[in-house]
Amino acid sequence: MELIDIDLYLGNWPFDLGVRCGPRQLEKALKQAGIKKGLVAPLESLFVPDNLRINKKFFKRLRPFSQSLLPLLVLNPMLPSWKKAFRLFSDQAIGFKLFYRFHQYSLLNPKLEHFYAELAKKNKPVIISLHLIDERTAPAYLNFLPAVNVEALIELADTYPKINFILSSPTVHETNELLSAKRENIFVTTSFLEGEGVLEKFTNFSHGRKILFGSNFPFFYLEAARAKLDTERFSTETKKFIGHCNLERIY
Amino acid sequence: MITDCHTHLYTTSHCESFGVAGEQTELVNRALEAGIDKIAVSSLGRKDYLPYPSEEEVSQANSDVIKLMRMFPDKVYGFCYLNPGNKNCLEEIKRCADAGMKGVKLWIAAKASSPRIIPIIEEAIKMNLIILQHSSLRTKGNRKGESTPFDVAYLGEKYPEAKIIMAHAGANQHVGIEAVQKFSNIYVDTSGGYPERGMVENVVAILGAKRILFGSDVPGRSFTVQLAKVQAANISEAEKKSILGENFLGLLSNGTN
Repeated sequence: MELIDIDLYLGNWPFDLGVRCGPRQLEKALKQAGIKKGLVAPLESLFVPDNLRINKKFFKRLRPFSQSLLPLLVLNPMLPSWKKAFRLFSDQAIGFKLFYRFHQYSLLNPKLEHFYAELAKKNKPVIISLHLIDERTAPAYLNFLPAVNVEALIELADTYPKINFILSSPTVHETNELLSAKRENIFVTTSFLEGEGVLEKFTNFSHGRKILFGSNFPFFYLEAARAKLDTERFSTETKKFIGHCNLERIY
Repeated sequence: MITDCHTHLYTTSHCESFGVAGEQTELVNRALEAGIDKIAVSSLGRKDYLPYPSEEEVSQANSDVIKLMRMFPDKVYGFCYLNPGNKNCLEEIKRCADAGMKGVKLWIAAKASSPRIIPIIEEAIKMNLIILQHSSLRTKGNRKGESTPFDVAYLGEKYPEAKIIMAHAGANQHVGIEAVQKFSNIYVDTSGGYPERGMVENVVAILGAKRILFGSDVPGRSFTVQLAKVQAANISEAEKKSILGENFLGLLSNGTN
């Protein structure tokens, strides 16, 4: 089964010594788990208010691993430097990733119109990170994160119909609301989807065409992500769509 | 032999939300499909998970488990759900133990440190039943009646002869495990959380592999995903074997490992 992992991260998570990963380690872990390649974002970009230095370092670091680790351009549109970063790195990037909860802005801020217009021109997916960890028991330092507003995400998709939005790591309840909205340009990843029968239910929406494989590594086990698809309850065709075809269709 | 120490019957609400077939045999079928040989099952309510069930709701829930135990005598261990606020708890334990149940499941009707659970614990000790105690340590505060790992530690200290499984490893592996570390009669299960890397390794490092039991918390979680937490952990094969079955079977057979 060919798999492309949408939800991969590089770097260190400051609240857990076990969550850290360099490119060589990531490449090796993917290979061991039988995952062909993945879309990667730098964890440092969550905490450092800078669009340029983090991305410059990140793209350079990933260059030797271009067969398996596909870099995402993380932009914080609240900083003016996003334009320069977009100019310098958008062609090298497989897509864009937004951490609006960490960067503390509203996705529907009217000042972002130009930003979305520029993203739309590239015809690459925009991945919006919703969750990274279990926030119920997360360190209290992360209490600043605003709640996920599913209605706002749907409104965003309606406002920018030419952009394909991949919502990374929604919870089961969020996924239910997102897929029930039946928007053509909304997709979700599997990282946080769990529960006996849950993924089967969601594959019934558009026969699995809205769901993309994701692991949330190095936070979660790659093997656990794979285990969700390694079941005879999905047809080979559905597995193919979730595993890689849905992503390929988005481009 | 892989044994899951923490599952629940599907509620009608689960079945409607997930489009799962209403028959409880589905729970056993899915476990077997995932390569799990035996499961410990409790029901937290027929329609939905009920935090403060009435005597009638408890009786209904436990009768559903007894029915499943009779259908799959070599696959299902029953656990008796109780609300310590109900007056008939001791009669209900006896009814369930007589039907072959192996343990008691306590959720959030009362904290593990509450005097209200004392008669239940003393009865469980007398009948050699395992106590599966929910616990959590939420960043924004626990729910009413929800035990922290410190409540469980209190219970373990007060009753060293009780066989206690702290569910979800306290749901906060960093603090929860240390809270119960010195009480050798407190075990933890792996159930319930997302498949966080390092969780199982951390518990092994602090408690040792003999005090961890594989649990899934299905149907809210998935058998295969929860199993992967142990199978993918960076621990020895012998430790995995202990966690995946030996420890629970040891608890069932003689009360200790």
